[in-house]
Amino acid sequence: MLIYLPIAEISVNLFFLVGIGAAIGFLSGLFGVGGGFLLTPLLIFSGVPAPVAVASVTGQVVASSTSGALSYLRRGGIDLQLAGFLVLGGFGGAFIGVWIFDLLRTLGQLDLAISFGYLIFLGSIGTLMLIEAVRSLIRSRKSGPPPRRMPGQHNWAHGLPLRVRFKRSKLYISVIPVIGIGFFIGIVGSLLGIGGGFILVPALVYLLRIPGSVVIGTSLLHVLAVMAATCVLHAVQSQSVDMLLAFCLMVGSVAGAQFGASAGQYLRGDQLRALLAIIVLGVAIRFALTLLLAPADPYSMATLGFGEAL
Amino acid sequence: MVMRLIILVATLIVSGAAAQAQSLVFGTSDPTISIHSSFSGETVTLFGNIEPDTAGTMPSGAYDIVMVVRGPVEDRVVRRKSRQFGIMLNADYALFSGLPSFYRIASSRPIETLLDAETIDRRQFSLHGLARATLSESNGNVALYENELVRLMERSNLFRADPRGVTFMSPTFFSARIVLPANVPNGMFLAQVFVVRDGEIIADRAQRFFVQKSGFERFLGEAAVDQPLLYGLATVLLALFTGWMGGVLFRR
Repeated sequence: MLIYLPIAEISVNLFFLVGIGAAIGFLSGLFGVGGGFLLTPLLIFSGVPAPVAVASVTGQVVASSTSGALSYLRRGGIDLQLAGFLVLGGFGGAFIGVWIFDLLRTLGQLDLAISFGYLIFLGSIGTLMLIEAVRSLIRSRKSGPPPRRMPGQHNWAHGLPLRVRFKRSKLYISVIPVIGIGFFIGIVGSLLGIGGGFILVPALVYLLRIPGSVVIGTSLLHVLAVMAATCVLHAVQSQSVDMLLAFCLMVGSVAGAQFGASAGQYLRGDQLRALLAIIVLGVAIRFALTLLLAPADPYSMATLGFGEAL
Repeated sequence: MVMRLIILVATLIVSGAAAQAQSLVFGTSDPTISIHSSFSGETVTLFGNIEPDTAGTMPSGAYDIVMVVRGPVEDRVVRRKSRQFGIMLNADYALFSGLPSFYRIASSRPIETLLDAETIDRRQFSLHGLARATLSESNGNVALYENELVRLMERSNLFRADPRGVTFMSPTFFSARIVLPANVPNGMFLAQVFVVRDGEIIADRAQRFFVQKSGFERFLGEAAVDQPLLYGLATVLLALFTGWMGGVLFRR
């Protein structure tokens, strides 16, 4: 059944949209990430104009993080104070990210920057995650459950001024690295059109030693707030948000997310991280191939519009 | 649509008989093509009749028809990737300004056999000529880009030349079916018809028709442009609501 998307101005199969929404939703429920880094390339590949795909996926990410964030909120799995500081940095970062986006566009190398950005971030994060997950898998094979990191352990991020007591996370740390991380994820997210949950979670765990009980919920809330702001920003700036496209994806993804979350309970944390690492690395390799291999058709065509320039 | 067509043809013939000055009548089956939620393309029938001239002499001899349908103009850029420093980069580009977003050339016989090259070029009766005329800026091989634009536009079903697309139903009555694909651009379309005899264009007529979104699609499309802030906030609210609903419906 075809459905006409009024902003993208193309007809797409409704079941295809809901289907990929559900598939991405399943993965995002399973791993606790937004899934934008998979969805945006998929939509572009199926013929949706790139600016419309990037802008509309933000709406889908908001929806899929809402159901997750709400269920974590009910269980007390969100440090609202911490999320507040992260989002503060995130808004600033999104603003700067959009500015860099425009700068790169005038330089004419936006495609290259996006491909490189995906390659570097997904490649490095994926590799780190895979190494870490494989290590802990091996360790747990050898000697039962892996030893837990002590929340009392300190690194450089804990020695900075402006310290605040985060009650829920049971931490007394400076807000500078918190805002900094939010800022950095905001830039990366608005540049690459992704929520950044898969970068934020490891950053919170390894840099700030945020306890595992609140890290996913807090990261979901951050992604929700920053993506909501980015969605409005895109709507105002380039008018490329397709509400109907976003809605079809949302419906699929909120349903898929619930099944993903239940499936996740049958897998251990380190197994989940290894699986996610493989998916992230797969996307990174795909971007590497587009940079390295000659395409079947070296010519491409685009309409100038939606704020696209030469 | 068939019924509408018959009525239109009937009115055309009646009005044509009343106005003897006209030498050509031309019409379209649908003055407005509305794009609805399950739009998957549409066929427009264009038809016309060669009428007696002012003096009342009936048309005689062999006529040929060239029909051109053009969509709203836009700026399109074609880019080429090539290997630099070992990676694939967008190397050069060509900008086509004021390029029709949709172009159909239909004729009763191949155009090259009807008109001379100069007329074909001037009237934009060839896709390559159209590409050449609209190319405004390039830092690469210009001739190559004209070919590539035509190829890419043909592949997207936006450009097509149909050398046998116009059929004569009688010595003077002709029609052509123009297929608008699902990705047809929105806006005003101009259909032009030219009557050719002995290598000369002896009459022409133009007819407009509109392709536009209808109902909910139209409302959304207009809201996104007229009220971008409200539209963005509404999208976010919809997302929050859908997320919350999903949580409620599927809560374990």
